[in-house]
Amino acid sequence: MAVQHKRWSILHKVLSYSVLVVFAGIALFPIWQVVNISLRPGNRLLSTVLEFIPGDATFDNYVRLFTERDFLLWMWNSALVSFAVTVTGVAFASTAGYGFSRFRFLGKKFGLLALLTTQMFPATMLLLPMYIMLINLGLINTYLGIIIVYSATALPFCVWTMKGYYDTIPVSLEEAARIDGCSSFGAFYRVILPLASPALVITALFSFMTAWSEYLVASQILQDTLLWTLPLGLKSFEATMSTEWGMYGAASLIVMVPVVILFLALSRWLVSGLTLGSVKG
Amino acid sequence: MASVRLEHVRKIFEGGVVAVHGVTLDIKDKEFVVLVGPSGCGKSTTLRMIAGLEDMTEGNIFIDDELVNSVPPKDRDIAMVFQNYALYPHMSVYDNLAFGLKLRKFSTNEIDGRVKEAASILGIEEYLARKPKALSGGQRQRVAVGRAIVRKPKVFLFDEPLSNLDAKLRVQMRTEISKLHQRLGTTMIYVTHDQTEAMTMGDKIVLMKDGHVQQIDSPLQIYNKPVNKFVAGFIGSPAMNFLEGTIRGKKRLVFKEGGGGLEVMIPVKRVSRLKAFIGRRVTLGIRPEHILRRKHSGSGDARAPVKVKVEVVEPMGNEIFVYFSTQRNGLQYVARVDASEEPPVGRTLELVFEMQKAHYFDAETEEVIV
Repeated sequence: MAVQHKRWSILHKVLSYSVLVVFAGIALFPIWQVVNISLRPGNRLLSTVLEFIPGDATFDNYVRLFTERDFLLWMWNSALVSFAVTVTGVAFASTAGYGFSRFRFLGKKFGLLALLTTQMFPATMLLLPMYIMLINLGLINTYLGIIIVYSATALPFCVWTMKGYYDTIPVSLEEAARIDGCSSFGAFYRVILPLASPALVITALFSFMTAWSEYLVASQILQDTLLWTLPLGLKSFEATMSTEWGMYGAASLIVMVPVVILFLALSRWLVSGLTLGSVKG
Repeated sequence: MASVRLEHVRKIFEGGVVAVHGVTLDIKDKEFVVLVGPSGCGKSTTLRMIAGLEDMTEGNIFIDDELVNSVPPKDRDIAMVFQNYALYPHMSVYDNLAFGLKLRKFSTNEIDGRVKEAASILGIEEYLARKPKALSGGQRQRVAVGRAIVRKPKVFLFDEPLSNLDAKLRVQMRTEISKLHQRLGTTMIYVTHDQTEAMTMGDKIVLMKDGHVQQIDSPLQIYNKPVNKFVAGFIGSPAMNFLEGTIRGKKRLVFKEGGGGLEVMIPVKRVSRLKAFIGRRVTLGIRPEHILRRKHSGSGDARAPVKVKVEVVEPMGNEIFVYFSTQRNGLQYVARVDASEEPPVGRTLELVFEMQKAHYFDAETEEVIV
């Protein structure tokens, strides 16, 4: 009986790992492809050789990216816009979500529903009205314009995320803090906000990603090449006659790096059970 | 140290639900007052209004003779222990205790001294570095109490602090809170739905029902002299037996239970007060310990013998709860008899009602007659 159980256990493990390896392969294949393309000399998108790393691998595309193109400028623009959208998203979503979670006020239900409704419309549908509004406000071709649009797009989801998380934090913690000597804002800032860190991280990542990888809205608002963000810059590698696939691949990989770093840096805050032990479970 | 005074305090929630109807209460300095009542009676809302966590609709609250209606909780110099502990989960036990002191800008030495003193009083010194999630329920409740005592506030507020603990720990913590009150000599207001806690801990009990104060008195007064049927039934375990019936007779009065049930003589001493109720519906209330076995009772007009059928017997070790019904109408009552002999279930038993200890309530108003 014990031997049979052991056999099943080994078989179970082998099967589990096999499935995991297959899916990891599926997930990693596109990245390997991009690495491969970026290391090929010239613009060879397709290859008949099944080499893990091309035999004539070169970093030429990476060097050209920084020397022949405004890649650093695009990166700076993207970083600036993404940082501003992230800060705005976290600041507004954390406070608005708290308000929606804790206070009763006129229009609360309507407000929440309105935020949800905005998510029903695809970005393409919002392009024209947003474009007209930005023209009227004189914000076309400005950082502020794109930051406002990105923030407005990201905020509804972030507010809902924050509100949902605050709902799980017992109100008695704030009450205890208010009795201990905090003002209402102090109780929020010192007790509730630290406990909402997983939701804050989600909000920050979502806001950052909204801005970092967005192309469609940016292409309408940012017409001045000096204001281009990374997606606009990358799209410029594509021409009518030919596309610079090597540089495209290299740029794609570099664009990925800050996102990975951000994920790794913030992942330690993505922990569950922060409120464990605060109240009777 | 402070007195607390509530004047016509009223709370109406959104939707017009009246949680507290004009409560007036005077709590003296160093007094241990227990607000007790069933769920939804307004006791916690009253406490939260004293804490400043709930706005009042009407009335005034004074702490140490200072009107605090619009004073925020942090400036009322109160401390509160919550039913669910409400510990800060991201802070260690030490930081939980020190939090209030840090906010009040106490010196590091003072904070350290006070935290360690509180930890020593509550026996939680070895847990100071731990996070709340690494503590048991009882330890967490001690930390919650500790967080209150480090501040040395004017008034302690307890909102059902023991209801999440198991029965044994509850008894232990009950004693510790009472000891703490003696040691600190601070005014304490304690909310509970447990009448045993109310009886054992309070200098004064405020019994509430549906937002109204029913009676304010010492535990023994409330037990022995309840002002109405609700108070009589709420305090005491097992609860008081209530028999619905009428008063009959002329010179010698008899209580006759409805449905052809028990018929017991009323002692002469009670006759004058009950004469006005001859022919009217009355509720007779008698506590289980005032129903004795016949052989253990004496004689006299204050003792009314009855024959009953034993239905359930609950031996408690030191005493026995005998659930019985009268032979005629089948209603069930309980007697608390000595443990010397367990009466057999299903058999007839002769019991004696100690009628001089019985209470009589007007069946319509439920107010006490005598």
